[in-house]
Amino acid sequence: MRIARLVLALVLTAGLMLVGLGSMGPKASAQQAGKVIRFGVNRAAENLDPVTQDANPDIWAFTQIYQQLVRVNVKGDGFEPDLAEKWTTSPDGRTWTFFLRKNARFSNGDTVKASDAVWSLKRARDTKGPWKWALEAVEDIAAKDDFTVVISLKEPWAPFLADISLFSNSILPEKVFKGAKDEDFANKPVGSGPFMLVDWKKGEELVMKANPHYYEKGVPKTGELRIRYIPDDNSRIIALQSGDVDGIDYPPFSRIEELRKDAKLEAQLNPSTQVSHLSLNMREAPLNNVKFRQALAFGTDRASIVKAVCFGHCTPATTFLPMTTPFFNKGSKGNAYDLNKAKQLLKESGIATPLTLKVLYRANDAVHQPTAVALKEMWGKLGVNLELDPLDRATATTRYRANQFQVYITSWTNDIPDPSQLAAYSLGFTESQSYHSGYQSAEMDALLAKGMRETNLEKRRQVYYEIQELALRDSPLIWLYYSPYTIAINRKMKGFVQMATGPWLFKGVTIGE
Amino acid sequence: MSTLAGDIAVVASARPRLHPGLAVGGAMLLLLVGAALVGPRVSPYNPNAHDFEQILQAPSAVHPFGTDNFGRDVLTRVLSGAAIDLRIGVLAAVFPFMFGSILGAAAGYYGRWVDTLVMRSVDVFTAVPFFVLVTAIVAFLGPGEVNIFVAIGVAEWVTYARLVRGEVLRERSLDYVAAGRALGFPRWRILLGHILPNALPPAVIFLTSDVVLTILTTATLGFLGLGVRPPAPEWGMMMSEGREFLSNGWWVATMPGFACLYTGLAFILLGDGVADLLRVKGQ
Amino acid sequence: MPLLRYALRRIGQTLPVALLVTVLIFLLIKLIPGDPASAILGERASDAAVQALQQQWGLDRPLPVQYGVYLRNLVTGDLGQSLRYRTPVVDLLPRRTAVTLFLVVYSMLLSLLVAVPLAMVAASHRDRWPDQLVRGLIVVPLASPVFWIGILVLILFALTLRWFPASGYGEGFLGHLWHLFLPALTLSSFFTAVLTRNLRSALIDVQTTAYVDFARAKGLDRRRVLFSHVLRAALLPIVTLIGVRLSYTIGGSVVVETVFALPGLGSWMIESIFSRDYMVVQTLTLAFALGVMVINLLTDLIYPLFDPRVRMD
Repeated sequence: MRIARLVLALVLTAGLMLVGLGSMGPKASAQQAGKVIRFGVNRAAENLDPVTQDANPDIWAFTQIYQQLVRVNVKGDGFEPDLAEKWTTSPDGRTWTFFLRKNARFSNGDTVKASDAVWSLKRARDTKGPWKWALEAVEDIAAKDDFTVVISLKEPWAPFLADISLFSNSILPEKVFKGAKDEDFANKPVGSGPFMLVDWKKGEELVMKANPHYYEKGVPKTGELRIRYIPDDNSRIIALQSGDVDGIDYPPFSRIEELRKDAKLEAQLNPSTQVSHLSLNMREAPLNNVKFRQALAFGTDRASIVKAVCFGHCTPATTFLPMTTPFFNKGSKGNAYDLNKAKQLLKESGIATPLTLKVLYRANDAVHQPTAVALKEMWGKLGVNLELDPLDRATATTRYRANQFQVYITSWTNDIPDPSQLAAYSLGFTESQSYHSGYQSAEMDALLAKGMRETNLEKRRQVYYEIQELALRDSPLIWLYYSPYTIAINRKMKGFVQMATGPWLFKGVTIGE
Repeated sequence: MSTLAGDIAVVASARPRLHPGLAVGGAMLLLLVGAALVGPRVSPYNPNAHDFEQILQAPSAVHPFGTDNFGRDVLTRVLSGAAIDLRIGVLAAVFPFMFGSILGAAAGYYGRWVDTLVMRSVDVFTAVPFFVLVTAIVAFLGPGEVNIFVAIGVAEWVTYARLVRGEVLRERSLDYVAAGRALGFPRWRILLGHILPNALPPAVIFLTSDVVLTILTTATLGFLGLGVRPPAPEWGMMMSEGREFLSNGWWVATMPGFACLYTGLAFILLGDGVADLLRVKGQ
Repeated sequence: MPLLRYALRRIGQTLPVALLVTVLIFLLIKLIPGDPASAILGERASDAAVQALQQQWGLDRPLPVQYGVYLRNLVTGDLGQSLRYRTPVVDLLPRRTAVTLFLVVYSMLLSLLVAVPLAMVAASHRDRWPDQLVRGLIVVPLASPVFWIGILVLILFALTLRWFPASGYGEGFLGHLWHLFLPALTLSSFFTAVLTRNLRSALIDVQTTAYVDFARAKGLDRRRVLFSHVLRAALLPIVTLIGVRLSYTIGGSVVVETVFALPGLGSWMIESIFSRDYMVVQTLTLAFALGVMVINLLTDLIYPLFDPRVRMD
């Protein structure tokens, strides 16, 4: 017994020592706090190559480091100069000339020259990446002199400025990266943006410091940025609440109200270019029947899904475009929930119920699972028994890409402030088999082509209104809701901005006392 | 073990100390099984019916365990889930117990190549971290109850094999074994009739916690995204999905947690009672 | 020495077993549907890009060929590259290993520190209130999922009391001790409960055997008997348990590592399975297999030291 008591005493002493140690800790980190931005994220960056990556964590990290010729404005409805101070278009719309600023420098001190832009854009155009489409209208890229870039197009292209502003068209230093291996693009980015990469513990933390050669004076306002990977939602929120980090991304919708009540914190619902939807595999019965698809669309109670999944913080979707996209038809009612109409359409379709459909989705996704569960209940009223098929990310992605699914839950974010990207991708077959639904319509293809080439604003708007209506009628996809980005920050963190297309802007952030 | 001290020990421990564990644990389990069978039938709620007007309601007279984020009655779901979890817990623990114990006993008793074969197989399976093996198998077979049994079974038998082998090795060298051989008893009779009953108590003790461990493994698989298919009201999935609502709906994850605790306590008490029984009989 | 011979024989058996393990894992991982190129490039990548990547990584060749390439690289010391991070596995290994080893050793120590006195108290006051209390308390970690305990620990100590940080590994030895206390506590809880139960049971068993009575009859006082004879014999199942549960603990650390955002081996392994980062899985499995086999060998060798009656065959 004596031994037991002795051991217990030891444990208690050790515990007290640790707590004593611990009480020194918070002060130490508080000292640092003013000089460092600590941001907690739910997914870790893996690869910082702008041309080949499409995962948000990667994009939102390297956009602190790289710049493009032109950048999207924060609201997502226009463009601002970035590396190019101004640009002109030829009268026939086929030649664009960009005049670069002369004081932009990469973090290694080299001046950003037109040759760098030409090399980077050619790489973006020629690499088999997910963003190749952004430069598909480009005929040639050339440097007229050290600070002038001339891009000639195959034909006048309405969304060209949007395309050139895409982050995959970042400007890299040719000297550093010519002939470099994939590993270097992935791990050792060198850009002209406000931050530069200093240390990277993979799957743990990304450390960036101010680019000493960045041309904007006094920017970034805080010299160090640490992006920390904290995958568990509860842990990430606790890290924010306890002061371990200054801000976090993706707090679950269910926690927003609670975070709002905390006076020290600010919960943000930032407007996004996001739309969540279902892909329907039209290649087989019963989904090859348009009235059946419409029945499902009208039988989907989007308001209830918004309640269940977003706790009311999302907007039920109408058309296929996210509501912040130019030419979004605000007047369209979409295929709004109407159970009677759905049953009517089901009868007209001639499909016999009850029947079973399987819904595939990425397991462990905070929103896909409740969406699937909600859908199961709803479609049950139509006699459609929805079987849930959650699979891990890799398996789900492979099955989806191989068209081995019936219904697939996914979502989209516009990367450019233009409807053409999403229209081509989800309705135009060539790029993705219309979000793998298999939808192919000559009428739609004609409209899509017109939309890319029509440079008159009003005429273009009408084309996209027609596209939105046709998409609702043919219903290869069922659009569910538009969701904002959720962010929670400590009120001491000022100047944080999130663009509608997703990327964060840290260059104006200051951490107060 | 027929020394004087041993006889005294037998007499001393034959007092009704056996009964509380078996009685209480058994009663708790019977109660659970009864509730699982009767509850869902008697309940006015369907465990899968959504009611968006009643999201995240705190426990009340109408909903004794509250409602979850779909407005489903948590009590009904917990009772419906009892069947699933008892099935998973028992089956996924009993099969590896039987399989692993037999192999371990054979390895410990017969030795030589039997030992080598069994223990090297154990090495191969223990060489892969338990969760990695289970995750890989479930990822391979796909989600679902049966696949989870198989995955856990394949990973778990090794523990029993090692445990029982260790005990058999120890027992084998005791006097009564040599005595038995001298009397002409065949080896398998000594193994089954005498050694195994003495060697099993640690394995039985482990089995009782293993039943609960299996339920927890299923919960963790749910945490990793590989659990039982939703919307099945399996306790582990409920805990995993409910942890998002700890601050505004603590009952969603906690009630199935209490159910787990209750079941765990029942099995442990039962196990202690059984172990006591075995210990006495063996002497 | 029979022990030495046994040890050498076991070591000789290690290599084929290690090889078997790599084959098992290789097949298992490759047979899981889904490929790393799709997983890494994502939903929106073009088919051409996916195929190009597969070719670049040699994933389109037949399985036996791929295994052969893997073995050949292994022999020349090339442990492959993480497809996800485009970094050699050996570069990522040290930090991850350090984190997990620290965590596991820390948690095992905590378990022993808590379980041994608890079991002794329970066993020496059998069926009286201290015993009942200990047995009652033990049920809680035994019947709660680790992520559950982790979150409660987080809420209590990191958020409400602010005694420890909520996540991360920290800097410096003291920093690690501080950052890892909560995760180690969480990870140790289950093992503490199991250990306490088994140790208590073993202590009770041994207390009633002949030689203890004999020792007491000789006049040795209860405490000495308990410590020198009983504890030593009772440690046998503990040693077995530690050997077996070590494997479980390292793999089970994946949950703790996720909840506390620790960049350890467990979470790396699981993430790599999910993203089909083959080389990482292979290398980690092999390293782990060798480690576990060494531990198994050591535990088997320690048996006769504790109980000379156990023959090594």
